[in-house]
Amino acid sequence: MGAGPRAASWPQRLFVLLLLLLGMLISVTVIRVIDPAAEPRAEAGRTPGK
Amino acid sequence: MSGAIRTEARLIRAHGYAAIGGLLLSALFGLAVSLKFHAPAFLNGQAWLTWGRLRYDHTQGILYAWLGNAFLAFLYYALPRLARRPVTSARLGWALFIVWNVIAVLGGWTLVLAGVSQPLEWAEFPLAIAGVIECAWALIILQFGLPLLRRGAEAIYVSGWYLLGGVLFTSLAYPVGNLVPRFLPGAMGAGFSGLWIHDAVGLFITPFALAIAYFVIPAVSRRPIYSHFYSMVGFWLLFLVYPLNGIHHYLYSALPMSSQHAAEVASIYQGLDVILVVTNLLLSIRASEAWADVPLRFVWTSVMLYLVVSVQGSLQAVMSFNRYIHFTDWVIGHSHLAMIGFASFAAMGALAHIWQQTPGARFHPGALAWSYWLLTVGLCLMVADLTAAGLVQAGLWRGTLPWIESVRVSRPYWIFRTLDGLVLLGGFVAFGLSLLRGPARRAQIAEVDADSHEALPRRSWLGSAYAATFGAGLLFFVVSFVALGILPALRLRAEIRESTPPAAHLALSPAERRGRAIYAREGCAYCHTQQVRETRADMLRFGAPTAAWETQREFPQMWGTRRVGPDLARESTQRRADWQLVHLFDPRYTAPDSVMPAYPWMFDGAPDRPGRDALDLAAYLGSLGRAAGSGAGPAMCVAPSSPGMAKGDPGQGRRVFQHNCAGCHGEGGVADSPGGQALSPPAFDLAAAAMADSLVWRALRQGVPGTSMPSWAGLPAADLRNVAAYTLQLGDPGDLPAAERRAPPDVLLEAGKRVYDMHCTACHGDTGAGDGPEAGRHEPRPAAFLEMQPSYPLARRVIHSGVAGTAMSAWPLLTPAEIQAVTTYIRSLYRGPQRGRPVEVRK
Repeated sequence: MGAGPRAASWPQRLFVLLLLLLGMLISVTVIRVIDPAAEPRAEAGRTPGK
Repeated sequence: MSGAIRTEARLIRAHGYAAIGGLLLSALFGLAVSLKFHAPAFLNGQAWLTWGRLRYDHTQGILYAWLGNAFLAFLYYALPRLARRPVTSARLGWALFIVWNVIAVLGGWTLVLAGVSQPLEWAEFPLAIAGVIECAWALIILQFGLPLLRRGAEAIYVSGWYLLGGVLFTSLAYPVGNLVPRFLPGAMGAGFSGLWIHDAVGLFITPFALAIAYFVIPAVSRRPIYSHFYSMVGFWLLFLVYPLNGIHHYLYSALPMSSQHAAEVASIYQGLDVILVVTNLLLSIRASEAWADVPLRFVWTSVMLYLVVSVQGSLQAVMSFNRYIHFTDWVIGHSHLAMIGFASFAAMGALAHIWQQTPGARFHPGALAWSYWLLTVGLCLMVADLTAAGLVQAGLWRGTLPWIESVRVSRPYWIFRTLDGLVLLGGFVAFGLSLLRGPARRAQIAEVDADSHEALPRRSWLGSAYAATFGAGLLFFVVSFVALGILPALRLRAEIRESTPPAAHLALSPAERRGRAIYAREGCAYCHTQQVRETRADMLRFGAPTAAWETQREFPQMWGTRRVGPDLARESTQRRADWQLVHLFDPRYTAPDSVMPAYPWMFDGAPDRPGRDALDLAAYLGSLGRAAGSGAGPAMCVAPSSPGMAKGDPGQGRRVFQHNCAGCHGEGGVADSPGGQALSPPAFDLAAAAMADSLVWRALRQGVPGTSMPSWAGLPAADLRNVAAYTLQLGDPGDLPAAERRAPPDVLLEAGKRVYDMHCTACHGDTGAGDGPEAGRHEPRPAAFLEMQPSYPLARRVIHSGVAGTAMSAWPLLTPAEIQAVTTYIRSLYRGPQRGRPVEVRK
């Protein structure tokens, strides 16, 4: 089968790195900012196990 | 190795035909399920054709009968090309075919229809069948996994890696989803259920579909994949983050918030991983190629929709968005987009692609093109329809309108879904025809040269097939098992130990346990959740959030992931057993617009003659939320304090009445409906008494404790005023015809007072205010004659026969003259306004 070039070019590596960083950015924004604003009671620790 | 490698064409054809049959039957199950949403009487009255059982068979059929067979057919073609070796044994292949289709699929379908199943999402086939399927996974590993692993580890193409990882992971995750929730209750089991719910799609369906995409695209375009690096990063990231998604099905639940946040992050990364995978696949293909080759067009569309559905899934897992659309038809649209748009399109592309190479297989390209367009149009319309329905439902659930309002407004969307389902069914039929009609291929299948694979440099053990298999399959499984199951379960166990109230009534009686099994068997959990989430909307409507300690006897948990009907976690504070029984016999008796299936086979012909199953089920429903106490019920009461009924429009009120009240009180308010008469106490005859505004308003706002009359405080204030005005207009206490009068009025009044003082004051009070010394002991409270003036016939009936389900006993020793006298007296106590006959109703 056609596996494609096995060596990764630097733009390809950069693209993957940017995706990973983007995931981190979105995750932190969602968990720290957006979710607490939406349901502050749940986020404040009333949910068991917090 | 050297020489040609045999491809098992007969097994390809056998699994292909089984896949087509499975697809069409599963689609018919789905169509019947869809029809029942807006025509609940369709196929009603037979236990084996009830909604819940057909729903189980629909999803299990799509998973095993359709996709399972299609993937196996693909494997028989692809494996020799990926492994450069034949499958382990043709005989083993036929054994697998029989085990998969005859025992697992046909056996599972039949048992589910017979009422033998388990209420675990994507694991509805009963445990015995689950054991058979697990054996089938072992056979699949033997048949396909071993040849792949034997190939030079460095030479396995990415499709092979996906297949290896998917097969091994699923064989491990499958028993977790089927077995663990039976032994770990409630919240603790939910984490494991979530793991399997997501893995069934994420690590069975997805790896196979991606293996197809990575196989068919270079095979048709005759060019390599754009980037091997992207292929591998996508593969590893998928197997790392997909299993960690599971708990996003239970956000805002009693599961630890840290686990929920972890699932949220994993879901976000999953979406980004899919962007990477799809980028790689789309850069490997030209649009013109996809357009020219219809099987490739199916695969290309599958890849595009994989991107859409995955980004949508990531968005749905963000808690602040999830609180809005979870449980609605939005999610059903999402799952159809995944199972048809992504998985089925990939499977169809693969089947059509390999079918063209398979000797003895017929192929009709025109029918396949028709299938593509019917399915593409049908799917887009269905997803748009369900997404819109979900948004409407979500909006209504955040307000205070009665739940049934969301069912009512969903009806046009559900009708559209059925019509659209016919288009999809047409597409499936066309697909079947494309593989069953047309000229048969006579040439032998292209042989694979065992020596033809490209020489690849040796890599470290980390890059070997064994490392990939055990890393993606075993190691990541263990990581997800610990992160999603064991760690939350340990925290929950400690929390349950600390928070369970000492006198909590958690144990179920034998009848309640039997009722729970019936609830599970009939698929009730697929329309009624049993978890009040920690969101404002849920707490306002359903009461206190479900705590982990409440769920410690739920084997398995039935929290649910969809609400067509309301949540039942606090049902013990909401409805009485008599209402439940009437509702089970025919839901339209109590809620005219309900779409719930009826269960008449649990009764002996009438709602007030329940069989054991019905009694057990009602007992179980009465136990839901009991441990948390009555204080955990909803406190929703938002109607205006001032009735202002004078401003109500009786004509508009009649419309509200017909939708919400006529089920019990009858269309004319005279309590002549079978549902109302079967209640205990029976529904009140609104036309047989004059009532004060305060009585009607109080009943509407607060319900009538001790009866099945619920609070309607969630109705808009205008609707409340209108229906109150209509109800007041109905009341006609009439008068006593002179010919029937047994004595002059003043004599009747005096005699009636004596009877009343002797027999009635203990409950109804000296002044008829319903506040006698015994009154507080009774529920419903004794009638207050200051607010209600019964007609002579009503009073005669009640006094002579009593009222079932209340403390009002029969007074058979009172003579007709005495009854007339006491009626005259209690009518004289009334202080409310007199009402006329019903107004002319505006149509």
